Amino acid sequence: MNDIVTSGGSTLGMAFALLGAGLTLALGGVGSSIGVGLAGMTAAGVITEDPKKFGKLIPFVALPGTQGVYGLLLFFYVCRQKLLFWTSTTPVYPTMDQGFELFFVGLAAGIVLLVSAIYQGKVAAATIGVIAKKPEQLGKSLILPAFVETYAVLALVSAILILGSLKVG
Amino acid sequence: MTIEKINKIYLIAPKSHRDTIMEHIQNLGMVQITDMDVDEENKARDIFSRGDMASVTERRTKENLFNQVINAIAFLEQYIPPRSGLSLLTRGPLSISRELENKVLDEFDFRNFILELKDRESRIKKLHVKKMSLENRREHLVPWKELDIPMSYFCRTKHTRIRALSVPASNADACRNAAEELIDALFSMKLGETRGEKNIIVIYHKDVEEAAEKVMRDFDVRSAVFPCEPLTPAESLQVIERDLEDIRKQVLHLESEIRGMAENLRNLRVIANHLDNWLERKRAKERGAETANAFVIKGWLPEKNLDELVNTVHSASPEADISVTDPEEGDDVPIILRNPPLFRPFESILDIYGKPSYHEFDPTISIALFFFISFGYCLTDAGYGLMLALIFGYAAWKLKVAPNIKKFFFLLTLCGISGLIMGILTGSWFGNLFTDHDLPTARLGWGNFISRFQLIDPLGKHIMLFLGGALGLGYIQLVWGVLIKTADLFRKRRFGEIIFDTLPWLFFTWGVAVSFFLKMPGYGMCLLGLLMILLFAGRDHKNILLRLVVGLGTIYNTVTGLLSDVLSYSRLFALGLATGIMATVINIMAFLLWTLPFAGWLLTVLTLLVAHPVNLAINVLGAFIHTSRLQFVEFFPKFFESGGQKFEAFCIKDTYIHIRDDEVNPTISD
Repeated sequence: MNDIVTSGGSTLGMAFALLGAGLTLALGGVGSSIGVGLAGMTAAGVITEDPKKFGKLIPFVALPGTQGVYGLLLFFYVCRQKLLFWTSTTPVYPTMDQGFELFFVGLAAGIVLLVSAIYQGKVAAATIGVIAKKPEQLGKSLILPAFVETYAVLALVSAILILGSLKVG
Repeated sequence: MTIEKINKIYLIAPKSHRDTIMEHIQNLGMVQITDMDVDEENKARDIFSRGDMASVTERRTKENLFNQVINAIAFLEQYIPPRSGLSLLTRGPLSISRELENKVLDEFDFRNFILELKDRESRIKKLHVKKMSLENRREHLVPWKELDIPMSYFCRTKHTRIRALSVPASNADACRNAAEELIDALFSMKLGETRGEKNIIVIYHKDVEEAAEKVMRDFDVRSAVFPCEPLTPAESLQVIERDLEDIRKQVLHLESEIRGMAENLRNLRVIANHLDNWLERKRAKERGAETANAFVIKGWLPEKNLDELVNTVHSASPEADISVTDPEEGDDVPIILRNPPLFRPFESILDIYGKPSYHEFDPTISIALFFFISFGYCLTDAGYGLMLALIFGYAAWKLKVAPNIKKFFFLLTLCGISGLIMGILTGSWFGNLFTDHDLPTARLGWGNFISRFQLIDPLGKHIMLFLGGALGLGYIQLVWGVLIKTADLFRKRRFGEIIFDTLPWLFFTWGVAVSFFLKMPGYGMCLLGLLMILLFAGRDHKNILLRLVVGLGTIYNTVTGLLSDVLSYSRLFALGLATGIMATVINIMAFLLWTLPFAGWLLTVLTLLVAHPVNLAINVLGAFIHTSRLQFVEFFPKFFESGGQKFEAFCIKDTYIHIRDDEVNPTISD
């Protein structure tokens, strides 16, 4: 084991780094599940009344799902610090400091992803009501949930910027 | 590019020509008819009354008829589904030739047909009711199938009662004990169980009726009621089954008859279309006004179509007079946008937000430019861009869809091309599919070709450049928005607002940009701009102190507004990277399967084939929504007011069937 831990790297650093990666994946995924769930339930109600609206409702149900995707993306981006399966080379162990850095990036981004996905789901569910009554307002209704997503995107931007400037090992 | 010049027209002609003229105008389809305010017109001379009110009863009759036809169509469509899904997309809506339309209008006796149809409908309904009642009876009898005595025995006998009872299984034992205690000489026989209830036959003497009723009440016992027929339940069930089968056959027969009425359905659609257009015309007449001998119609007409309208109207009625005026201030002029074909798809984005009002600039070209670049920035993958462009290019070319949907398909095609360009510049083709040396696909040797065109590496050393590009694009778009505003104010000769509002903003904003290169001049410009805002933003207030406070508030808003607006464009950066990273993730996961024995390569290929299109869909949705948002939330408030209404010409509608003028062959195209 010790021979692959490069100078200063530690297994605990690796553990924290992976914890960060896991947290952003998990929080994003949980948030999106709740958000998509909320939107999906509302959409199901509308479809009961008018099955033809299915196609129009798909984007609304899918919208709160992006946080889960961003979570997955950051998960891989953290792992890309030569921790895991990004390349075929042997993993590089981060130092304790680096492990903590990666952990907090993942945690911070994860919290934003979690909360924004839930609220985006709520807005999406509400705008599905708009589509139920005024299907021609599709475009306007799509923009409203995107306002919430802005903050998930900002979290993604800052996380990518930090991860891009961190070099492990 | 520009908003079409629209004129207000008044058409005055003899009442006797009204029908012909209105038909001509409808066929021309270039005028939007608006309501005449009769009271307003009568202020000068009290001669007008509302248009064409003499024949309101005729309209009511036709409306009634129209509704009947629509209902008949809806009824028939339950059995003969209209074109939908793929066949609607590839073949377009149902259409017939003009010749056939005339033939149908002449020969098809739709009133009679609707009566026939109603008769069939009521027969089907009656059969359905009968079926329900039979099924109900069957339900009732099934538990007693094994009872081999005629049901008439259950009618009252002289000294005893015979009853068929269902006892809840959970109560059965307690019920029996209670019954045995209270009732002498009780005969009971078990017949089996259905749905948690025990079915039993009991016989007891009439005198203990009261006690029996009490037990039944106490233990939730249901007593079956049989018809007084000399048949056993099993025999009766057979009769019911036979009747049900009979009904089924009759319904099938009726339905197959109805299914054979496709041609009549088409004819009904022709009638519906005809009535619809007649009603449209009638309503247009009623929106106008009339005097004893003449009628007036008010409407909007694109200036370039004036000659055509005059010719058409004069061919129908030489006496007709058309007067043309410019729209007045405060008129709600309908909007037609005029753009070169390449920019027309971007009108769809404007449709989402709302059309410009008549006295504004048409922002389509600006949107087109920035939307195109922003979308590409969000997609930033050549493979995905190519896929998007090919899919929607093909759809726009081949599918027969409504013009506005076609416009949208073209928009996505252009967006795909933009993504392709950005992807080529950043060297991203389905992520790292062809460039990562660890993947077997790298052996195809396309990596060199790809990297030859790659200018920047957004995931590596150029990450800040990629972010800066997004923010820079935002900065340019915001400044462009304010420049449009300035030009608009200049056109309207509102120079005060230019000097005191937009110029200070521009000074400050340009100063920020200049300070990146030349520190002192940049700061100077910023300060000048801020100073002007401080002094002039609150110029509506007389109180000098209040004025400065408003100025300070505006400075705060300007600075934070610029910051947040520009930073908002960082989403382009994030979404752009996200596409590539997600694609790369997909590649890595897919090629993890590559080394599995036997079918590893197959799993890899399948994963790639499924996951990449899904990722494309997610990213296109995200790119479209976020790019739109940048236009709507950051760009438009800088200059755009919107609030215009779409120009809706009074024309021949083809809501129910499309009439082709070109084809001679009168066959059903379905």
